[in-house]
Amino acid sequence: MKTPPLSPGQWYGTLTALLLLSIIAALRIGAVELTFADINHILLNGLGLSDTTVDPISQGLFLQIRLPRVLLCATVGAGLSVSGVLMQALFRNPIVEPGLVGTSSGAALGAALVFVLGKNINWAFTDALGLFLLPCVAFIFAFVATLLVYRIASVSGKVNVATMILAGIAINALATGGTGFLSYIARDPQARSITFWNLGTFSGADWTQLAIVFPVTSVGILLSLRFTKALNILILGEDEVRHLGYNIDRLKIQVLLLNTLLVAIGTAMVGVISFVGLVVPHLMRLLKTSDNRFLVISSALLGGSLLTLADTIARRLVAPAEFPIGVITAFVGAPVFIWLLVRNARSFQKGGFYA
Amino acid sequence: MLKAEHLSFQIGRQTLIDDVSLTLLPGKFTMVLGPNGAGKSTLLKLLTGTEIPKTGQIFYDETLLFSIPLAIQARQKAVLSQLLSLPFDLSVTEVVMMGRYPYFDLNPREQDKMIADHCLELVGMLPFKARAFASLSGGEKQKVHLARVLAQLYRQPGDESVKYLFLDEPISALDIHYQHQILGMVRDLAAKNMVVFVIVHDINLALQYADNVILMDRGRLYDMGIPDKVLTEQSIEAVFRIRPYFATHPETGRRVMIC
Repeated sequence: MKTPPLSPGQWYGTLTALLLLSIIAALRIGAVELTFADINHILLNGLGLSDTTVDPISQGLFLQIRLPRVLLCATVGAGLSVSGVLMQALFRNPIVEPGLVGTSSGAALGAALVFVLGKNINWAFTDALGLFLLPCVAFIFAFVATLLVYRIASVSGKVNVATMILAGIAINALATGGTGFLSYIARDPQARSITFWNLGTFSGADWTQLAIVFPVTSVGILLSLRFTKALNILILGEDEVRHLGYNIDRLKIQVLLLNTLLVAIGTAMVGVISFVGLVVPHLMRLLKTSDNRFLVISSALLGGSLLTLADTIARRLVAPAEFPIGVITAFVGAPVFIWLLVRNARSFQKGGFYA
Repeated sequence: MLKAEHLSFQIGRQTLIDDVSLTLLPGKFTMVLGPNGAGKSTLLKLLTGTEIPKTGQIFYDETLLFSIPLAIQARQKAVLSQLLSLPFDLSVTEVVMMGRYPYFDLNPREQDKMIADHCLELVGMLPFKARAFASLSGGEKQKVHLARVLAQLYRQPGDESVKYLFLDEPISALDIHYQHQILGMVRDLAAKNMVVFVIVHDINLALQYADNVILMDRGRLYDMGIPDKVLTEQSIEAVFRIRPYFATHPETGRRVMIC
């Protein structure tokens, strides 16, 4: 490891290239293999630039299913990873991930509620919300869960991280119990979709989902950049944040809200995907630095690539059936994570948590 | 000018600061002494707005401290706290650059990089600039944090405004060479229109460097004034419960304390 270190700019370049390569690979590979020539023709046709005849089934598959799915995957991966960066910085602890403070399980409970009871409640607003019903309910539940954890942790006036983690465990258990209950009372097809969805799946991806998730995630990531300086100072301590000009209590609430936004929108659409938010920021931290400005951008790029690749594997491995992507991320993410931990515990090069 | 009126502070039933009033003038190097648990760090936290006093008020240049927006405060005053442990590793440059955060938006300007380098140079840590912070020794870490605080108050040419510098035991981990170098530097800073409030434990350093000494005892301000008046045999014996002897430095003629 004695090669000259890459500058942040070079990292962004490399990671962008990786993201593009993953997207291209993911577009080709699947239950039906497409050639580059096919993809090229379909894209040009779609843009109205040519009218080469392509197999209409391939064209439909590509435009209606594969393209939105791959793009959704990259977006959700980026969102979850950035959320991981935010939470690790806020908790001053590298083992934290978005699921820890109840955000994921809260969103999951909200979504399960819509799945199971959605068709039976016919309030005026359910129609008006239409497509947005699912993400809205998920967001509300995710936020309530996160807020509960935050409130319990800050009973003594200041936010206590240890209490927050324990409260997170309790709220997670409560939400998971609720989801379990809903899948128990649900009639069969719904129950199956909850189970599948608890492990995460992109099989339902379409342009509408992308149209909701993409703008929200992009805005969320851009907003996150605004908090990176304050989160860097938080590495030194809460008092230092104040000494360098930020209101620590407001910062905490803002970051929690942003985290909820990023996680809930993704979770509402594709289910609970573990480990991405934990491993991706961690990897970038080990490879380069803990400067949150770098972590937000690089983790968004790397998270997008990794989740896209994981989904490609999930689609290809048992084609034409498919694996839940959460299984893949856990099977790949956990060993990588353990390897990183052990390697760093040995080398003593890094301080803090690893030393 | 910093003015505090009738400050008191409690945690639970414990009174940590009891009716302290004081005025700190720019241009004067103030050192704070007192036994462990006398309330030195708590007083520093109250004066910097880190903790809210139970009673009393603090004014920076006639303005109530709590009415000054935090972002403005960050350009006026810098605080070096004790015992900072970092859960994530950063490079030395990244830590020092935090001192410039109040001055740039997302990425440091050339100017900020030069100031950061210059401040590292001042504390003798420039050769360590690319090192991982966690790999430094305790004293080296302390010097890097000091450089960060100096970078935060670095004056642009033409900036004559009053700055406020608070250091909580800045030299506790340093060898004597750097203890004297840093205190000499801080004294020069104080002379440039700065309110300087430094907590130390070494009475001889206070006798040598301070313009103004605050002696704290059990949450109260025991005495305040020029070092030779405040640090007498009687007061030291009363506050530290040890009998001191004073000798004269053979070259400078300064008073030196021997225990």
